[in-house]
Amino acid sequence: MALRILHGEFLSHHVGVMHHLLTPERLLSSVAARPALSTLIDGNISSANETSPPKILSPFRTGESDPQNHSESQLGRHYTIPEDIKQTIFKHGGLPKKFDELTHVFTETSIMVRKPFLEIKDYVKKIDFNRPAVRFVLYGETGQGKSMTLAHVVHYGFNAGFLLVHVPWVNSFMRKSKDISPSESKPGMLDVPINAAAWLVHFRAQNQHLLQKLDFKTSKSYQYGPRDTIDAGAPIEELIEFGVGRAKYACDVVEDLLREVKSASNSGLFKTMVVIDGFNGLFSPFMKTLRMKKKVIHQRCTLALPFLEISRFDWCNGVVVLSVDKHAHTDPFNAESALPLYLLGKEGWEHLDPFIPINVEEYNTAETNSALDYYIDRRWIQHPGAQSESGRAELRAMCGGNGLELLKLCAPL
Amino acid sequence: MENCMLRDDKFMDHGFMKREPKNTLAREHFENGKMNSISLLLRSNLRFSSIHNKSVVAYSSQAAKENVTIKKKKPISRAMRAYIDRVKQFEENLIVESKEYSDGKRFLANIMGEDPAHFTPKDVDKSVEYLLPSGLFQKLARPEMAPPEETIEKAKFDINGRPFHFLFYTGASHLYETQFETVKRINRAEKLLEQIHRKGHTPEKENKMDLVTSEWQDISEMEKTINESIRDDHFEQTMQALERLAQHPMSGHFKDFLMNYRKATTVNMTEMVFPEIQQDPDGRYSVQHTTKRKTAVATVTIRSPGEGKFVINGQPGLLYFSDVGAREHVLFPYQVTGLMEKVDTEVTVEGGGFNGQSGAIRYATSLCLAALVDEQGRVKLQLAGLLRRDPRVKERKKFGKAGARRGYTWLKR
Repeated sequence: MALRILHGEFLSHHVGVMHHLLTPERLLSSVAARPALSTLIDGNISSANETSPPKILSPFRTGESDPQNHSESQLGRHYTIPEDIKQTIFKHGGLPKKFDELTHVFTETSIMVRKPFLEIKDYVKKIDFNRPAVRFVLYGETGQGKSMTLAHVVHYGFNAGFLLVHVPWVNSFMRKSKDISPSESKPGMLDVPINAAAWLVHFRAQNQHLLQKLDFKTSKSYQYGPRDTIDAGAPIEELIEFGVGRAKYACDVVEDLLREVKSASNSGLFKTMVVIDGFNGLFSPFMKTLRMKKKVIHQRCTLALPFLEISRFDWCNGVVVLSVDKHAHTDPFNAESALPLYLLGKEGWEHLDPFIPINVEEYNTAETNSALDYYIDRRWIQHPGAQSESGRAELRAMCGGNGLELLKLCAPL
Repeated sequence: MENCMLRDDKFMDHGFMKREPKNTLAREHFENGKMNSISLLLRSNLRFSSIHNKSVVAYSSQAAKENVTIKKKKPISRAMRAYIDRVKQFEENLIVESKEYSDGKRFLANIMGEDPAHFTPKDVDKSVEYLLPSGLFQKLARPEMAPPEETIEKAKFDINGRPFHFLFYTGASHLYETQFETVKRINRAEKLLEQIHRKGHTPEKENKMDLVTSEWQDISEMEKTINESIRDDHFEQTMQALERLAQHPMSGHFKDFLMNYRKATTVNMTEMVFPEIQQDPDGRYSVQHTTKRKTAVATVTIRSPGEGKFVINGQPGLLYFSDVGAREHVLFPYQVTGLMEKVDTEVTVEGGGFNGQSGAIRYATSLCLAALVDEQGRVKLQLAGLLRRDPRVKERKKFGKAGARRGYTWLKR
């Protein structure tokens, strides 16, 4: 057996913390070596430094941390999102809650490279951006990795220089809105000011670097209150700043901002990537949660409109990646199917048609093995029985290829 | 040899034992003729004493009056005298009853048109059943005619007023005798072990009894074996002693004794019928079987060789069951036979809850796998208790109760 040493990037981030845990001897004992050693050597790692031995990775890892370079050869392997990028794009949400908790335990944010992502990436590379925006809809059973794929896509969009319009979870404002108040600009509708302001903060955090570089300015002046005016030609940050500071107008600001984004994309200033998780939530009734009781409100939410607007195909230089989820359905526990036609309903289907459906399937055996290896490596699985081949076979069968289920099953091991 | 260790008078003491003992030991005694001769001896002795008491015994008041040749009257307590009177009464009663029985039998034979000389107790039962037909469910409640020796309780004391059994005054004579005999054997086993150790050897494995093929009798079976009702705590004590002997390295020497209190677990495999193996057009072997558990009915088709795929009611994987325990249920037979990820399974299941469904699937799977594996695999399945239908069902609700057993919450009126 050859020594297996973690790639330099990982070590540089986590020297000390994991050093004692990840001695080569421990890795050898914990990870059953499946593929031949030659396949373990990642082509993307350079061995320029002659004094250090060649950098060999565990079979479940890839050193390639840029999703733009991910390809079939990395299929089923985990890549690590650099900590600074994670802080930029996922600070205000975007990773599933259970996974986000684990990133603290694992001291890294690693996502498995899977087929749905590669599919989207290949399509996006081939898209003619002069044509109307293409819509992708991810679908699949709960826990099979739709949100993780979207997180991967967001990272890809960030690295590829897209302006990100990312909604981590639609039902955070369609179901669990913090505050509801009647809209002034749209009589008969309701505002969710705090959620809207929070989303503006998220947008600003994700696109800070791009907004500083670009010459992105308002195309017209906006009048919100008698003394609250944004002049035409003002930097777009000013508009965002205003929305964050004056939450009362945040919903209107979101609408105007996305309209600006659309027109700027049309003019070719930048390319935009829209990522919305739980998109079908926008077509379910607006609800208010009060002391664990949900109350349906027979008025529409103003914050839903701009996201519906930007998911249309009447603009160019944009790509829209959406997911439909049973959990975002009107009746989450009685949702009969995970297919887009059922979850979107008539209204949603007509809104999105035509789109490219992408099925997020369950793990295959290789992917399950990779996930198990990763959990063993991170000491999420410590029980010797679970590390034996019979234990792994049992876990493979028990989880049924569902990543979330595997995570839950391994939690007490 | 072991059988002889039990005291013969044990069976004499079974005065209240109305029928032939079910115990194998006792049956052997019957076959040997020992029991018969002894009991006959006893009976004749009793009769003799009651009829010819003048010359033999000197304790009855009548005898004391008639026989003046005895030098001195032995002092007898009032209780003893009362007992002896009762014994005499019993003997006299027995003679009358016996005459009545033989007269009745002859009468019955005449009614039935049979020869009275060759009219057996079996014929008596038959004719009583014919002449006095009864629809009563309880067999004990139906009319019967039996010889008085069988129906009238016999004495537990001999003619001298001494109990037949040496542990009579313990109140649980046969149970304590079992414990006594067990401890005697434990001591003998210790001695045997010591002899081996003294020679500098270690006991061979064959010296220990095979405990896999048999298991302990439960309390009700034990009661039948020793023909005595047993208290729970007494049963526990006895089992502790027996277990100690069984676990002893030299327990093989006392196999015959121990097997009196054990029952075989393995049934004859040749008698069991397993589902037929068929060959599919694709060259694979398939076995199909339908079983029930509670109200669930499952049809399982197993195809070999396979990759460990599951399809339950059209849903791939085991995630048809959200309950982890139910999934474990389904997997268990594969783990026992070592066919995990080696065969494909297709299941149709309906009725019942998740536990009933998983139980039905497990039973059907076990029978199908038993058809596919060799004799050794079948024994494994059998020992795991998988080749037997689980007869437990939901207990019915009782009136006046919230459920089967639970009472309603008490309310102060």
